[in-house]
Amino acid sequence: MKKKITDIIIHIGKYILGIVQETGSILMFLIKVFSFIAKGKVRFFDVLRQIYEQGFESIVIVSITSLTTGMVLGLQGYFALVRFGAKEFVAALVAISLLRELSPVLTSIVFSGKVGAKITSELSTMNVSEQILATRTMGVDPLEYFVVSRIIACVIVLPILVVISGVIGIFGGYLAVSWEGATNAIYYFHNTLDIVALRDFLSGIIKAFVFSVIIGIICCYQGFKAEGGSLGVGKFTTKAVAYCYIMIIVFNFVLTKILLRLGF
Amino acid sequence: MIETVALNKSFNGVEVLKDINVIFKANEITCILGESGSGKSVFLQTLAALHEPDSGKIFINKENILQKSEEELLELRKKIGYLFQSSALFDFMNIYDNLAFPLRENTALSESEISKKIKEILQEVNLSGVEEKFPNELSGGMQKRASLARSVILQPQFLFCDEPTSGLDPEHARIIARLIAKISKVYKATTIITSHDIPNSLAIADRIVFIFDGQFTEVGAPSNLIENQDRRINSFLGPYAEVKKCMIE
Repeated sequence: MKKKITDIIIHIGKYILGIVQETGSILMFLIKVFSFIAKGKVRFFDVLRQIYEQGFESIVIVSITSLTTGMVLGLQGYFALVRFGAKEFVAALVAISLLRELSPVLTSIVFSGKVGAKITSELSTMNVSEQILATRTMGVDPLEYFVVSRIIACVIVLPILVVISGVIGIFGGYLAVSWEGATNAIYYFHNTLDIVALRDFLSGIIKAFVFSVIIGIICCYQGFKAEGGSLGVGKFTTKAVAYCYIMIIVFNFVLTKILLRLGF
Repeated sequence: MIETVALNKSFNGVEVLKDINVIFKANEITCILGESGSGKSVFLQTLAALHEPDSGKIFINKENILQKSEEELLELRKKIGYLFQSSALFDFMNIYDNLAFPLRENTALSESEISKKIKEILQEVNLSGVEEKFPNELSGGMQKRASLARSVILQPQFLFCDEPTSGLDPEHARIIARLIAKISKVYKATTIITSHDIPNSLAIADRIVFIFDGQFTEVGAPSNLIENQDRRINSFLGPYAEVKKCMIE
């Protein structure tokens, strides 16, 4: 019995130690990437190519997600508010929910599933086929060559996608409510602009910025850590996306708390 | 010249390299023979400072490379051509861009000079005309030759080849081995080859070293194998032990 308890304690200890080591490695990875950026070791054309690829790949799926989310929010909001005789607030409900919460979170989740998975699978394939090692043997740091441009592109593309998502979502909300014959365009959008403050907009952008760094770092890190051939590529890609989802949800709460405290 | 002193390396508690003391003389071709999993690739990667050893020293041109920073190591690696077992060509680039990569990154050559150099080196490895092809459009032997071309395009002082003939049919294995020997002599590179391809290694090596369980056994020139009575070496050579004399002759 005593041995069993000791084994459990050792097991938990090893697990916690593993998490601490992993966190430390990710932070070191992050510091190295930022040091390259600080030294100006940024490949401009690679960044442009990544921006094009990441943006182009996600725009359709982000648009569909945002439009339908806005529509559902509009419908649900309308029928809920009608009960309280407050249906004129539906535009505000849709806009604020989307800009502050749903657009940054949903877009980041879609982005990590689409772009993040691609980043990890590309890098892990290169890793298991020794292409990343080959880069080092040719006197080039693979972090600088493969990671910096991908992370910068994430940081540029995701906030833009979040803005687009917010606009499309608000439009979706209008479509759904107008189908119920409950509003007209001028009234709805006037209401939206009246209620939405700059801080609502900035709150979403700040979240998108933090999420983009999280997605970029986690996905590149897992790609660089991958081992075990084609099975490893699948394993590490799934792991990266799962970590991104968890981190986005957790950080969303932390950021919401901090931003509200700061008056956003 | 490359020298290792009391080099040790382990992974997850398993000792892969044990107290390795060896000297690789300039302009010589040394073949390290050993079974799969004996530590050949780890040794080569440790020599190129791609792995940090647990203990020991590695001297390249009399400088202990383990005291160098990562930036200094990146500089050092420009002097080392490294041919990977898997070829390790960038699969998102065509052959031209693969070969241009080390030149664009490490030299100030113009695009026309790079183009000229690529043409020359592809001719050297009998691969003219594949510039626009992607690695997956080439056969295994052609990928190895393209990778060899990329590893020597900077005219390295040292050439490390990790299992260059593995996965190739005997004819292509022979072509690659001869090509490495030729290029090594042309560029006067100190060449270290890990392999378990006995006939080709004996054919091109100036010196043979065996690795068993992470420990080195030096044989010297291939002709010394005739006199060698080491049980492990003869066991590794298998049928070649019987005919080694004939083969070397």
